[in-house]
Amino acid sequence: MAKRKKVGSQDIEVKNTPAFDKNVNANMVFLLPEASKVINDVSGKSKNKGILLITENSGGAKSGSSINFIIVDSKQKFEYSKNNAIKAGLKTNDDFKSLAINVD
Amino acid sequence: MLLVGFMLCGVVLNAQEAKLVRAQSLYFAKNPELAKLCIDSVVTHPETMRRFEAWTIRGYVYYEIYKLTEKNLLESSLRDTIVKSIVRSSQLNPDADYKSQNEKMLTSMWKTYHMMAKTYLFEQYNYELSSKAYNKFRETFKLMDSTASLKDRDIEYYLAAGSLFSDKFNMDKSNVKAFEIAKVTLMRVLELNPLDTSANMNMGVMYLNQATSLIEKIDAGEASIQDVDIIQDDAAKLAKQAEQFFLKVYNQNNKHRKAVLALYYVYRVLLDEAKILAFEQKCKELNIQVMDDSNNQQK
Repeated sequence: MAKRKKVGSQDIEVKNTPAFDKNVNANMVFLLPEASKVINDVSGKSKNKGILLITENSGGAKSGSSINFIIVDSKQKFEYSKNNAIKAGLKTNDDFKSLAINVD
Repeated sequence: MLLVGFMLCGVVLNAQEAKLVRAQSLYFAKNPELAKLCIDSVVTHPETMRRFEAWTIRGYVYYEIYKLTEKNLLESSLRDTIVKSIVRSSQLNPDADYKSQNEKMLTSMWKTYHMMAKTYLFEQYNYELSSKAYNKFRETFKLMDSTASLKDRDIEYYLAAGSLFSDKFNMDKSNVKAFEIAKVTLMRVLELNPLDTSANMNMGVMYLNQATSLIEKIDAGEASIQDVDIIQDDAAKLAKQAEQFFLKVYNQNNKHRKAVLALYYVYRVLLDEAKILAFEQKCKELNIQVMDDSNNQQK
């Protein structure tokens, strides 16, 4: 997908790293479920940097991520924390809220 | 095809019986067109219309014309006349020789239809004509022995058609017609034998492939976020359909590798964590490699 798609006119580059590297100028950070212990740490380090932090872990949005994927009734859903998004320095769109499980 | 001779010896022949003998002579002299004129007159005349010999000879005379002109046609009026003539002869209590001749001719007719059904299917991928030929085969076969069971032949034919068209559908999931043909034919097999492994696996794979195609749309970013819920519901319905077919195979043999792997992918689409783990474990036990890439889930 990253090879084919663009965001606006920008290419998408995916980097896999074993640990969060604040020197990487990322727009989005996706923490795998096994990295759930570091959500707080990563959200602290990415504050006001315009980084969208995404997790896939029960309670992830309450721990600091802006979007957290969960499974509800055998369906993929996502939690959304507007507060965390604002803290991260992101502009938010309220249309998005209607599609999510809002945690704030 | 050779017709045994028939003799009317030591009797004074009336005009129609003489015509019957003449028709037979013309047949042996390889003049079927003239023989046809004679024999058509014989079988419509009150004095000879109940003679089984006349009807059998008529079938063989028509066969000589048919094999030169209509043998490769599915709709052949000559073939229909042959079959009707032979059936009429059989109804008139023929002797053993004629009975045997009648059976030979009917066998040749049903074999022709059966061959046509295979040709239309495998060489032209034309199920409409193939099934028409197959149904004609069934009808003709039953004329010879109305009590004969065609269950095994039906399973063989519908499974062949189902496998062929399910393969076509799995290669091109926009081929709705192939899916419909495969579904109808495979369900026919399952009516005859609900536990047929191939039919169940083929049905399951078609539904699972449809489900994974939908999920791929999400994974590939082709679906809008508003549609994700609907797509997930649709994919889950398809995966549930697939599950019932795979379970029928798995419940007969819980070491069936393809069924185990397929069920693992079904539960992944259904996001059923407990079953995903259970079938992941079964895959490991059977040394089956699972792919993470949804593109590799397909057959």
